[in-house]
Amino acid sequence: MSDSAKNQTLSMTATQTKPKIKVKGYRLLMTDVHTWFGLLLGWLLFTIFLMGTVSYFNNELTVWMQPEIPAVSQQTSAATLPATSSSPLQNVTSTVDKPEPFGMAIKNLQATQANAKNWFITKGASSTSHDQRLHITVSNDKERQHYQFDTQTQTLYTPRDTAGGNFFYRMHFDLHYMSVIWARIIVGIASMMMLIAIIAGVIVHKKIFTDFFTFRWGKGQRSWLDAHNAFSVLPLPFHIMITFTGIITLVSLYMPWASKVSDIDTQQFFEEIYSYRPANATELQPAPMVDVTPLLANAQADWQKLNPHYAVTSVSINHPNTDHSMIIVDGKADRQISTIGVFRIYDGQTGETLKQSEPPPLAVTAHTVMIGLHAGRFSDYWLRWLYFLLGVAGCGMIATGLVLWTVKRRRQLFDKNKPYAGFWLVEKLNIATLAGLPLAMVGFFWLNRLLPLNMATRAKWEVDGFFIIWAGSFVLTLLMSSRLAWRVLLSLVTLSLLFTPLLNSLTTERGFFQSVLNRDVLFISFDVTCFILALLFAYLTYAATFKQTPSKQKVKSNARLGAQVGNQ
Amino acid sequence: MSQRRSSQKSGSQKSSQGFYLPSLNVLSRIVLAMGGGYGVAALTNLAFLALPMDTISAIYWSQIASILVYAVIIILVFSLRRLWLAWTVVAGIASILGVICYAAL
Repeated sequence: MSDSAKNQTLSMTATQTKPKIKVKGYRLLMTDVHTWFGLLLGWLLFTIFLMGTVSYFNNELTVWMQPEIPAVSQQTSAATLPATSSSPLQNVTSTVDKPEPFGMAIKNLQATQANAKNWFITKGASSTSHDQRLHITVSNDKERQHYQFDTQTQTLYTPRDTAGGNFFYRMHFDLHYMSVIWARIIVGIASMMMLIAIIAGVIVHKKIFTDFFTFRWGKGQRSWLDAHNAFSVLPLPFHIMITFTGIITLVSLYMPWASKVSDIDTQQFFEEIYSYRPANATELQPAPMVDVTPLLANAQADWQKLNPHYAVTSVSINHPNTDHSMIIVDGKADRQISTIGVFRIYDGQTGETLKQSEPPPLAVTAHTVMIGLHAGRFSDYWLRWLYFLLGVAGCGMIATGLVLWTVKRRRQLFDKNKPYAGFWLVEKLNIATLAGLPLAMVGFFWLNRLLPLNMATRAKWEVDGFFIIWAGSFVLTLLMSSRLAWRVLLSLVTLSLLFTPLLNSLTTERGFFQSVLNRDVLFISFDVTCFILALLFAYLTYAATFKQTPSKQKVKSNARLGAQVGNQ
Repeated sequence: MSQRRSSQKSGSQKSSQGFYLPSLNVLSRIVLAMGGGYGVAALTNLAFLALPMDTISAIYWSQIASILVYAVIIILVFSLRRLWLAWTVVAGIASILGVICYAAL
């Protein structure tokens, strides 16, 4: 987007040489494309981007939201001491022999949940998840139970009912309170518009390199434009990558035509590349099941012949202890980008191999590598933080773009207090989204700590509370003048972020000092991040209170416009 | 009054000044870009089945390609100065792909 002064001179020469208004420079035309494609679903895009950004830590957020489960690191130091005295070999074997924890979990399930429909045991989706703590889902006909199992202490944890970080993750592409398919189609349209806005934004740019090094502070619209450029230009490869791969994750929904027309049996193909098998057998007869642990060791040993980094990541057992029992073992290489790993399916009664995964076709791998790049689950914490920062830059890009739309047009308003409907709407939506959404997110964390633990449908109330706060902030913006609304909402975000660590230390035994003593990195990081974000929002509050629309700027630009009109 | 005049002076910026009903030209371009672009993308998706590779690969590559094609078509529609040219180009590409699909399937 070129700055307005240039636009005006450009357009003036255009109008001077050709009286027809219709003729536009290519760049100006692309500016319009950039503006409108970015604006129309901009609020949805901001929501998607922000939700996606925090989802890089969705498992960590879930851990924070289940504070009664002790930290893994803390547990290790406490548990290894007695463990070494009883069986000194255990630590050695558990590092060499990865499936061992799964065997222990299965033993535990045999004792407690022998007649379930399905046991699903996983290390967790990301490469940073700890295999000391296994996540167990037990499905029965009517209900599902979630546990966490600590393989060192043999403890089964049933944490509080919480939506967890997973809420942000689902919201990122499934939205909420609506059909998943429609939500994904809407998200797809928004992503496509984002892609177009980015491409048009690049075309619009005259001096992409110079602009990156330019920042003009305190100059109203110019500064907003520079901020928009700063958020967009350096992370541009990330923005393009994340938008494109985001569309690819759901592309089979958007472009189903080829697979519909072709004679491919999708069901059969999915069974070829994915390990998922529904537990839907009927007329079950009880039957003993083979010992799973050696099977896991076998599978892992075979995979490690292909790639020494392969390890078992999850085990799913359909109809355990029946004649239809089926053991599904999934594996992945450490830090592999592609989301498709290897799998093997065993007959649970005899232990013979029913199915062994083959390497998928290159085209499928291309897809899954893109999905992996998008989700960033392969990355270690450093790269995860980089993803997070780039995501924040993306949010900043959308936010500054949305604000820029109003800043640019405010100067041209007839009466500043009575803007036309479109301007009014954009401004109110900006406030309710850019300030209201962060407020709702912090409110979500607060609800997690404040709602009574034995409340029925507690997780649902966390989510409903999130939307109530968001809707409330929208109502607030409607009741107040825009400037006051910015100020109130931003200071609310600042204060709530600032007090989140305090709330945490009051409602749990894992406050900041306690966490430092226990070297509980996750909780320390959460508190520090809250504090940094509080500083950021404090600055934004300050800027919204004291800096917005300096009257000098307005007078100057009016004078310039007047002079130009006079020259004509 | 001077406000209105000044906004007319920056006439080429006019369409980005605020919300109002877009002109028929712009409306036509939006329909062509979103609808026509999706049509061409879907035809690309199908046309890949004609390529000499196995069906699964064709489907997966075509999905990636179709999104790229969609993006290119949208930019193209807004780039071509003349509306009739934009329609002709999109219709032309669509018909070529259509013939390929028809011949192959």
